[in-house]
Amino acid sequence: MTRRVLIVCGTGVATSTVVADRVRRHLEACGIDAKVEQSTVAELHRGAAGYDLIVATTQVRDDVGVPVVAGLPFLTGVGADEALAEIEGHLRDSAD
Amino acid sequence: MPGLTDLVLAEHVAVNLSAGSSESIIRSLSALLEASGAVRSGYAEACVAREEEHPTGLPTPGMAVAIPHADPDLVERAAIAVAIPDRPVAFAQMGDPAVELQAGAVFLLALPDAQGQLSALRRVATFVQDPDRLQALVAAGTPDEVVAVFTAFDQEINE
Repeated sequence: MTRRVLIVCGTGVATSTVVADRVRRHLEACGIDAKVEQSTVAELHRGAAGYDLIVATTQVRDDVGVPVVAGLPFLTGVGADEALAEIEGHLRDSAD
Repeated sequence: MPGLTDLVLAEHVAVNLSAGSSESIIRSLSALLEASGAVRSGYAEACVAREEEHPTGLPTPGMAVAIPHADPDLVERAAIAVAIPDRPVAFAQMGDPAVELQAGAVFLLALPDAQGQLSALRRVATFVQDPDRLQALVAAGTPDEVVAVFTAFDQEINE
């Protein structure tokens, strides 16, 4: 079943585009069927129903209901491999 | 392939900028973009407001940077304004505003459509992740030298 990943940043434009691109390429490379979408943190007030994972470059409230992985490593390069492994782990778990 | 050289014009570069705060640096760079018609009036205020709510400081290796930007509404054409402040300027960290970073370079992004500028955005991320590039950037003494750093970067990426 296709996993759904939501990339969240402040404006939903610049940083989430970079992060979405990186996450999308990684998931393709490791053969995980996932749809990667972008949004703004303001739109998250509607909740994250239907998503398996959020990757956020901004603060996301604690009660959002799905796992949240920090997207900052994809912009700084520091810890990017670990963040990709964490994303992959969450999506493989949720596929069970 | 469009590179950073196409987006970073000498007229959009400020070196040795005496900038006391993140707000003053955002206003200086926005003024350069507005003067050339890349953004419309109000872009500075939009970036300042966005920076307060969603800070853009990045703890990149070797030297922190910041990438302030705002919604595309006021952007006429894609451009990146670059400031090398005379001393590092405090920016809050993206995703964790309690952390204060000292940014040695600031890239003000003006993007009418992020998907259209994906390759440029990828290059910005690649650029700021390289401490040697950042060192070369802050060592530049003139806007033309700053542009030359990006030109050299594009040429290496394209090879």
